[in-house]
Amino acid sequence: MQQTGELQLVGVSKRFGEVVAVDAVDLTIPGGSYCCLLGPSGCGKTTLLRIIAGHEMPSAGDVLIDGESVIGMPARSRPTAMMFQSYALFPHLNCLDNVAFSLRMRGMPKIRRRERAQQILDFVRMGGFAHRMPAQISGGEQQRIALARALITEPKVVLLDEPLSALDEFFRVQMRVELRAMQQELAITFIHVTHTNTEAIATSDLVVVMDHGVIVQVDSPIQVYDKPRSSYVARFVGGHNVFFGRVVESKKEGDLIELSNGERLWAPPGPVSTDRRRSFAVRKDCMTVSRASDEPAKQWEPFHKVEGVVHAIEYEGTRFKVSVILNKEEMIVALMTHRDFMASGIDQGDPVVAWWSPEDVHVLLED
Amino acid sequence: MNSLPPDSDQKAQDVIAVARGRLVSRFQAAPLAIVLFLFFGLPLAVVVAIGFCDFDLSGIIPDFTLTNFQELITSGTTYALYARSIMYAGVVWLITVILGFTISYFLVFYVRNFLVALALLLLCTIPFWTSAVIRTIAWIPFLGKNGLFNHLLIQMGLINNPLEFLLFSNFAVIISYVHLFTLPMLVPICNAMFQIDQEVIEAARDAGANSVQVIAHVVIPLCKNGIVLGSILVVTFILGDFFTVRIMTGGKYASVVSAMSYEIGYMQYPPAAAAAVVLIIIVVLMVSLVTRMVDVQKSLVE
Amino acid sequence: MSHRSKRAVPVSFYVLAAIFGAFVLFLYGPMIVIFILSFQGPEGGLTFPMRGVSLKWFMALLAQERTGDAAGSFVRSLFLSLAVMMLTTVISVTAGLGFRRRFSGDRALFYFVVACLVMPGVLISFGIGLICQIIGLQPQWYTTALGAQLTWTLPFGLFIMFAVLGRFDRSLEEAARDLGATNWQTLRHVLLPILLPGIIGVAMFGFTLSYDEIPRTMFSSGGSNTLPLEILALTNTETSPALYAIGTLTTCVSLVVIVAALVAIVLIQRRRSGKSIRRIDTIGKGS
Repeated sequence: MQQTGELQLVGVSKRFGEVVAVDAVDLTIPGGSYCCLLGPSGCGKTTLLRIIAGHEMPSAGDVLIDGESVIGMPARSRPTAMMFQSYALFPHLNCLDNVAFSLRMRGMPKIRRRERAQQILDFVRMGGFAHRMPAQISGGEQQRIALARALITEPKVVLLDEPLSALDEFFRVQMRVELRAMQQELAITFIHVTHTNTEAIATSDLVVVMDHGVIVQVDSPIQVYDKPRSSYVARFVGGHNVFFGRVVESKKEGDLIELSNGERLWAPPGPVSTDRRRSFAVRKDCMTVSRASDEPAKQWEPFHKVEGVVHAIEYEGTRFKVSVILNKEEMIVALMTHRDFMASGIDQGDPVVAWWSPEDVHVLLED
Repeated sequence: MNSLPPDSDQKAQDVIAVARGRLVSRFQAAPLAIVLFLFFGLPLAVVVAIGFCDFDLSGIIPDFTLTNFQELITSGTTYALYARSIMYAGVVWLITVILGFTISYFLVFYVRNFLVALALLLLCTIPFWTSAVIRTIAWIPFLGKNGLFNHLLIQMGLINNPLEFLLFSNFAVIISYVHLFTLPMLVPICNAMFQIDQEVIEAARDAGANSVQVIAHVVIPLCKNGIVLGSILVVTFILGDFFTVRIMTGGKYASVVSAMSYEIGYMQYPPAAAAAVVLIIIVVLMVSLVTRMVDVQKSLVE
Repeated sequence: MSHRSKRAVPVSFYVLAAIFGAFVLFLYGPMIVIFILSFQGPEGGLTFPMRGVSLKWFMALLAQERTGDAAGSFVRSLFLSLAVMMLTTVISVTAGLGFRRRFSGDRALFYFVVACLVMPGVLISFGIGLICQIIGLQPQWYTTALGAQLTWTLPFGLFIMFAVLGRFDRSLEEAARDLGATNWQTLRHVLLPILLPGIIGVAMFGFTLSYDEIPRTMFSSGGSNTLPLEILALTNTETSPALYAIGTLTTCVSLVVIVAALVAIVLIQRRRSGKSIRRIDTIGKGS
């Protein structure tokens, strides 16, 4: 099937006075994919979405949909449809007329546009709500209506601004599954803005991580989670312990680096910044904590472990979250399986060793 | 990629879009500005100009003079008029601010259902939309010598002879003013009070404040802007009063404005205009002083 | 604290409720007395007791035997108020929309509007009268008085629009544009319908404030009086209950307008909260 809805951003920038909200962003999103823009609030992701929708004009750069520039085109003529964070349902129209709104603007006769709107309502499984007013339905239902209203325009690209943020935890998980399913059924491009890492990783084909108006990584969810490009991504996406240090010894096999607390660790070969700083990450669930006295790790390579004291233990049901405080107040976290934790016999306040295998070390880029 | 327009071009587009928005806004505000200029700015400017003109029996003489102002500020009646107006304004302000605050407090903090509170506020608002003259003369059958109030008091055996001071007196003027102008005080206070988060009050109570302390240290500071706005409205409405003093004192006294309108009636335009200038200056000074005071206090708090 | 645990209503509630009740009585009492006394018997006077009940004083208004041109001034006032209402609505709504963006002179205009509200109205009509005299123009109720009244109704209209637009969610407009609406369609199908309750409020203020306006109309309406001016003149000369009859009538006109506006607003709000279609829903479920 011919996929449509390929989106290209070329050197897109947006300045608000002195503030640069989006800084020379280049990005290509293949047609028919589910893309998440991920980043903390204020990173420029919503501004980027609004530029694509035509609600904001870029200060520089070009936006192309299926190879055609949409710059200069007003929001109403673009092949995009936006779903707003507040849903922005028209309070004076019932659900059916909300969905039929764009057809009405195009001058479609009442009977035909209502028929079509009813079809879309059925598609989002809101067929029975046609004559309800927005004030009468729940947040989750309002969201489906907002989605139906966006879909009826037959957009090539659907833009979702924090679509799940107003829902409670239960509906959030349910809805993100449905959004994904609908996107796959319609085979059009969805661009989903979120600040929640789990949401981005669970739903999308492509995760775009942003920081201060700049894209820092574009990858599949697996790559972003498992192989974060920089320490920023590793910290934001979560699931990693990030180690920063200065190179004290370089060998063919790698570099020996010294952390700020004086501890020395071994990092595989990788790029060294001009001031000889290196960083690497170890997934929290690849880290094991043992009692310092027990020494199952005693024979372990000396530079793939750190020593500290157990600060806190949280039981998360499927696993244990063990926080270990190193000296100079640095903290690392190990996620241990039920079995491993029980076997280790550690308790709060114990002096421990946290260790990992060399192949779990992931090199980060320091910009 | 070659279609990428140069940076400066888009910046120019941006500037144009903002400028276009501003132009649309100016266009939208233009009718308001034109009406206010023609029927407010211009007339006041003419009044000020005429205040400095000479006049005789035949009419206005376009000749600069300060005689009108000299006569105005050397005349005892001017001071008497203002003294009376200020007395009324002070008393009525005190009554309306207490009444407005009490009623707002009741509506906001005691009537738990917002819609009921709104309906009750509306009940107080409706008379504001009916004729002020009618609402003024409506007190005559109430307060007169043979009026309802005296009748009631005699029936109850509280007095033997009807009270004379009820009608055609300062008392009557004040009653009527309170009747007319409690609403402009009530609505801004109520509006400010509705915006107070109920939890703030509860937090104050948890911190050990009693009801009086909550009102003094939480509620009043938080509706200060409403109180100030209401006060401006009440005081300026009283200064601009045209018929209440005349009707309620049975013509014994005049207000600043009704005295001015007598002069206008006798075609004494320049003296009337001079009196108008003084009134304009007082109103402008008062309003700007009060608003400045609030801003200063606000910045001190923040 | 003890009363809270018992869930009893505190004594202060009754005290404040009594004050509120007394205030409402204070507001409405005199008007009710006027209403009753306007049905005074033919021999009755300006105060109680009622000497029978009659429509004599209302008839007297129609016959215009003692009340001057009451009927004519009523018609003039009605037309004037309708015109002021329409102009106030249009100008307030457009200016309110304009004020959503910054433009040069916006603060100056805002202060001008505030000045309009607090400046004694007689000064305005005096100034207008002076201008007319200087340039040799005859003031008319449908020209100069109309403009003078707008300086009273527009500040209220604009402040209502500020309040209404302040609560308006801008993303509704963006949603409309996103769905293909032109600027005009956005205004027609989204902005105006959503703001309608507030706009009705502006219109009601426009009508009622104009309908009772005196000081700004005083020297700007020329030879033909509006109804409030006619009534003001009557307070000097008229000593019969006909004064109350005209008061009752004019208050009724205001009340009709107020009630109509409020009912319209309530109906719109009910429609939006979905209360009015619940009936249809249950019928649908029943079948």
